[in-house]
Amino acid sequence: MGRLITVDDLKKHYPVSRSLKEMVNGERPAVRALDGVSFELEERESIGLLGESGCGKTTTGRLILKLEEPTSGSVTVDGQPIARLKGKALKEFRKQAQLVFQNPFDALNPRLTMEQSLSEPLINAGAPKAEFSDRIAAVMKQARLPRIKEVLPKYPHQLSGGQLQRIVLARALILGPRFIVADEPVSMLDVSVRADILNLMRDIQRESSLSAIYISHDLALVRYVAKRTLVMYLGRIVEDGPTEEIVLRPQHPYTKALIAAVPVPRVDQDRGPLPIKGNVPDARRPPSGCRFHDRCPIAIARCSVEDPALLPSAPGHRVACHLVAKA
Amino acid sequence: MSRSARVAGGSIRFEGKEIAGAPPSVMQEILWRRMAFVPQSAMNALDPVYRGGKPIEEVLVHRGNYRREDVPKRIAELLEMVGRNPKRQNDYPHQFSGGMRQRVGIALALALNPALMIADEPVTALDVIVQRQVLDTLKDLQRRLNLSVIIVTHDISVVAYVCDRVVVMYAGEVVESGKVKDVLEQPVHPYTMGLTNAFPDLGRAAGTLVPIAGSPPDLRDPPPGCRIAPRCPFAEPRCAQTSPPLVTDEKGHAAACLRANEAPMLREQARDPARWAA
Repeated sequence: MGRLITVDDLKKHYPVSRSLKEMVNGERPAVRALDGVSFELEERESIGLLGESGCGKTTTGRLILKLEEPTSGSVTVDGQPIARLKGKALKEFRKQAQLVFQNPFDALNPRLTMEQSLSEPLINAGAPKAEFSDRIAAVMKQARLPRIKEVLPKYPHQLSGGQLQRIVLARALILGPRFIVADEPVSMLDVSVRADILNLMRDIQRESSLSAIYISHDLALVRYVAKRTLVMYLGRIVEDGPTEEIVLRPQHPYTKALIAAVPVPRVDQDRGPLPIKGNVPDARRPPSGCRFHDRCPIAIARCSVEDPALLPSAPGHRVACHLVAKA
Repeated sequence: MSRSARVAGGSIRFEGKEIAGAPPSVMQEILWRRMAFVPQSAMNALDPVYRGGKPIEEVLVHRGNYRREDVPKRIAELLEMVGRNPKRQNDYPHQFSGGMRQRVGIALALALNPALMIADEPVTALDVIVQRQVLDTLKDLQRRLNLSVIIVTHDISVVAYVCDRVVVMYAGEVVESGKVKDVLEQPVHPYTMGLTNAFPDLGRAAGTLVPIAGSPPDLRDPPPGCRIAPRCPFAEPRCAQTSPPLVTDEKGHAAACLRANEAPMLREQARDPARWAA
């Protein structure tokens, strides 16, 4: 296994309009959606980006796909910094990096048949027309879409959510990408369909050499598809480790709160009060020191002053907290 | 209900009054005052050009006959009740987070002290921490206000966390109902067994999620007999012919399955993922 993606000190700040006072003081307020994120992704690896809305998980995904340019920092894919990609090289990169959309009901053009929707990426990539039907049939098989002949002439409104999500997935896979970024791929689906799609994504990864980044706020779902999980909070990674390790032995107090909040489908649940208060702070003015200190149940004086670094707590496990023992 | 739809039969009695197919004049007396609704994705249900407190004001004045001068106090009370800062009642919806907007939706429903609140997928679009906060608020209000609540959801964990009783529906019919503990721990209907199999549980080892193969039937032409039979791993030939009646046991646990008496054995078999393979 080689290194596929390296994300180095990635930052993305979105400027926001200034108040008169800020103009006078010469301040440039910005939403710091992403504020110094570094991690690596190996070939064939699947990771989950976990966190609440506004933590920067979707922004990370978009920057890795080069749908947006970072304010600073870099993303390197296959040893190539993607910031400099242009022309032919960029087109090649687009084939290798694909996005799976969140809402299958919105992701497909309502005026295109399934066949047209699946042909679009092939046309864009300049594939020979003679190959279209074979490649579509192959990818539909990969996405476990039965009755190909029946489905292809249909429009999105004629298909179920599960079928649509398979088409969305097939569309992302049809050019044979090296990696996919899936943003909440099952959050819009019903329970039974959700299980089906999660199993499918797990199978596809096993069968192919695909790497995947799953973005979600629900660890119970990430657990089924990602071997490793990065927990994000306010534009930073607070914990990074094997998913099962994080589920069973979370280290960071924020991760502990997230896990305590995940609902379980049982009545005998012994659930204490949520070990966290308030809301995610304003990303324009993140708290000093550790960004979580104002909501943290165990914060000490040091936490409001000193920003904790993401350091190893065990092999393959990193945590950004002053109060977690370092390995 | 959509204008093109009609109540084809049956009856809904609310506080002793028949309301199935009741004319708007009758419903207007009941809606908001006795029975209130929190729509799905209440996050987007608020008009973006009105300030947060405005829709509540409209309900209070037009439906509750509140005098204008009493309105601000009641709005503050309601927002406080759902855990929102009453000082922010003049902010616009976009200035609030999703969880906060959901809380406004609940405050709106509670404006006139209804006896029943119906909430459609109240936490589906929210983050897990916010979900938990909103559900805690709901539970607390239900107790404090002596409120009856109907939660419409596909999320079994929401049911497990807040509800006393559950009604499981499939293709327009009730397939099982009873106390949440009975239904989730000892499901009688195979569909309920399948649903619990398909649901991830963070508190347990990560097994395989087992989906129910197939998809719900076309309701223009539902299958004869039991509607789930074509997807049921335990279906017998008779299931495709006879519609199973909803049978209630002495504990108030009801199920509509011809093989209900074999439930303990079916539960055992339902644990095997191979059973559910398409």
